[in-house]
Amino acid sequence: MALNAADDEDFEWEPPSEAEMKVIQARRERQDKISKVMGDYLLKGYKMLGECCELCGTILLQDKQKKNYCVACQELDSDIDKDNPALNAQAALTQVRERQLATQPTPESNGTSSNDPPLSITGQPRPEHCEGAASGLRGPPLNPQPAPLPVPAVNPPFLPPSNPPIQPVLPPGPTNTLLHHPALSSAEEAVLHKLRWATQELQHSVSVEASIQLCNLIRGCAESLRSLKELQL
Amino acid sequence: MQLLEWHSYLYHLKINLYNYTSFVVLNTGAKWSKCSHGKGNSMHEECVSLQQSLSVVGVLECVVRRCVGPEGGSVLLTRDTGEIIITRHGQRILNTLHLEHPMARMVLDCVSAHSQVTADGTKSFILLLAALLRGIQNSADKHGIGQSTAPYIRNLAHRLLAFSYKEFDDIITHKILPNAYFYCSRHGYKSSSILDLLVGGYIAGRLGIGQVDILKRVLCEFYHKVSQGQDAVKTITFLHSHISQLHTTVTGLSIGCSEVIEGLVVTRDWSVWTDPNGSAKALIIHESLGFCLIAASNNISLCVQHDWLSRIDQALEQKLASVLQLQVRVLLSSVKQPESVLQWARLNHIALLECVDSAQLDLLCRISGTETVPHPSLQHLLMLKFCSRVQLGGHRYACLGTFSQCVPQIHTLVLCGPAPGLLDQIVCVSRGVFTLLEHLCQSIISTQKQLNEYTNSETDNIRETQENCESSVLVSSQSQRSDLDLPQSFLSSQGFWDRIMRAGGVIPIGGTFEFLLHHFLLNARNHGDSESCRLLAEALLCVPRTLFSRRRFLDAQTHLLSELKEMTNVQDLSKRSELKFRFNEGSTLPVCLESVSSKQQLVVSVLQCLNRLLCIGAILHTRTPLLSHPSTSSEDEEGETENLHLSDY
Repeated sequence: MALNAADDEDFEWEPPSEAEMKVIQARRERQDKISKVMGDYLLKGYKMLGECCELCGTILLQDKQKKNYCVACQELDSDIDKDNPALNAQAALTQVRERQLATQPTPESNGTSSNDPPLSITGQPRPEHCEGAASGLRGPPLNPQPAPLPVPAVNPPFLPPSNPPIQPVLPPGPTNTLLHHPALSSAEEAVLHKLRWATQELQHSVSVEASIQLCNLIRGCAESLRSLKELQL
Repeated sequence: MQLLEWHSYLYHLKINLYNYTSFVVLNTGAKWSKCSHGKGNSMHEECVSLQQSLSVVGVLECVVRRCVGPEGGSVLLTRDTGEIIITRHGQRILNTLHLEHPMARMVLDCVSAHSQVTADGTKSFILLLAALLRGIQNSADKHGIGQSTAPYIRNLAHRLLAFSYKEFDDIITHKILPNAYFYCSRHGYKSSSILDLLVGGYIAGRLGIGQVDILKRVLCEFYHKVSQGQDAVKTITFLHSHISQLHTTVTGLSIGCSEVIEGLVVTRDWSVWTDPNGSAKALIIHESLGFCLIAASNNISLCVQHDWLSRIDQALEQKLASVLQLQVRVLLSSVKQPESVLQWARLNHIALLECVDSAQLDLLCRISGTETVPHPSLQHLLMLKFCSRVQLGGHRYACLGTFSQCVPQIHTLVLCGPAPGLLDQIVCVSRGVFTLLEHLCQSIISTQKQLNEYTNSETDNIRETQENCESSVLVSSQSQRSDLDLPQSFLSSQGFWDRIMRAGGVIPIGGTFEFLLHHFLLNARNHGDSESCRLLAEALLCVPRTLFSRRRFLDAQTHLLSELKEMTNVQDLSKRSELKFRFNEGSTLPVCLESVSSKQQLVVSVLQCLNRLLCIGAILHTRTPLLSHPSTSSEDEEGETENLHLSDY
């Protein structure tokens, strides 16, 4: 029975694709790295046990104090962590770009060209280190470019909100071509207004307590702006 | 990866149980599914024994990789007592690692078994094994065998093993050996230097640079003095079996003080010494002549018959008188003699040596052709050429010379070293040299026998297939081998090394064998299994790749292949034998040599170990303490688990 099932599957077998070969290659390299590190530990006097780690399946080592040690978990970056957007900036950017690619077929609101706007989600020109990968997606630049904005140090939009990018000056109107819905644009307007007011109050504030509260307000405004923009996707 | 997949995995597991009884249990099944389900792609049931063995052997490879070759590094090993050993010897490094993984221990067992046969190629063993495993994994990935990986892999392992039994021998005998001879003659190797180069090549990979030349000189001197230009095969066999009795170690001196001394050195000093001045009759006794009353504790009192002591004395006197009658000047005893016997010896000017190792006494008996004396307690009588005292290091030892007419002359190899650890390594390497030589001899002799049978049966076919390139090689090798048809006892040393070279027993070191075998495996037309050939050929190149840097590797490979092409293009048979003294333009010094048979044995051993590894069906952890484990300390033994493994052949 199982043999028949195996035959059926073989009948539909295809050679592994490029992506799969890359995955295989990456895994091989990781395995080689693990072997090298384990070899170093063995020479230092660690003992190679007959058990495997529960998380990643690498062979466990035991040091002189009888403590078990897994090389892969403790030293090397995890195989899958690097793909988790919550933990890795690069992964987050790639996820964003993938989503952009997915939304490409829908026409833009200006409708001047069908090419992709070479912009990141916040409407600002993409920083250099993302340009290389994104250049493949780029067509001829759109005519109505948004006004070049002062670009702060770019943090990808999905980092945990401990350091929100505080932008004291924002463009006044909805030059962001991605905001279509009138309710959203008015909400954004209101938030921006409050943000501006809070900033001005902050500049004139004297007491520490008030400053802290104003900063919290600014942070709250930035978060709501972010979530508003998320709604667009 | 969730419940559905886990259930389907269990289902497949059950089915597999009925079909193959092969599954791997590592603690619990849930962990197994986690570690092998990578991204949930089509390869989720990869062969676990391949994965495990690759990770284990990969680690071992990383450890030994840096020590390979004459330019490799060394490993510094420290004991808890503070003792330090710096070594490059693969066997020693691997034995010192703490390895409890059952697959690692199995690989170690295979390696030890192999090195007992050839004393060579421990590191290359691990490198080749790792390369083969990787090659198998690559081929399994490329073919993307989905559910049935484990049987495919096992099948591949069996095919490789089957290849090593028959077709591999054919390739070696008919392709490699003749070409080995051609390479040697092309590079102008003289038969007188073959031993030097063989020994040098072996030692260079195992000891530090400064020690190689000294030890090589001493070992070759030792060999030449023992063989005295006579039967080389007998000498080598003799040396191999008796090397433990024929060497002495001295700590505290530098290696350069190593030397060869004529005679057998016994690591005891004479209890009673008088110089017999020349040859003397010696008596070997294995029991005490008198009755030794050893002072035990103070509380023992013996009651004896009143004339017992006098009777004992009488018996002793009788024995001693009979010894004197035999005109013996030297007494060699394997036990301690009582004080009265020592006194008697002093009075009668007889030299006495006590507590001699019985293995050495046996050797002496065997070499010198003893007569047995009718008196029951006095056993062997022999003639010694000389007796002397030697000073080695801080000790005085006895030295006994023997007459030997047609058998190897006994000499002793004195090896000196500054520290016990280093000395130990030197002794190990020296023993290894003789094991290597012995293996070389035996394999050449057995190859000759096989070839004689083969050529006798193929004589008719040869004329018909004269045009074929392969058979022309056969014809030339037949003409060479016609003078090797002589029975063993006729092989004298003059022609011995020359004949070894002609038979293709040696090949220049440094990857030549691997390149040649790679070339012939890939071009093998008649040798069935192309997949196995390809796998083995690719894996073989791992050794030269480790020895050379990338660029030098490519250079070496192209150079060798172009030489090979040149030689096969030469159609005229007579021209081949004239290739003898063509010197290679680039090199002035001939490169060291290695034995083809030990390389062949290495490949066979690796394929056998690979088969054992990949056919592991289950690893079961039991809870009994380890019985005998030489490298673990006693406190590790309590509560340790013993690992058994079943293999599914």
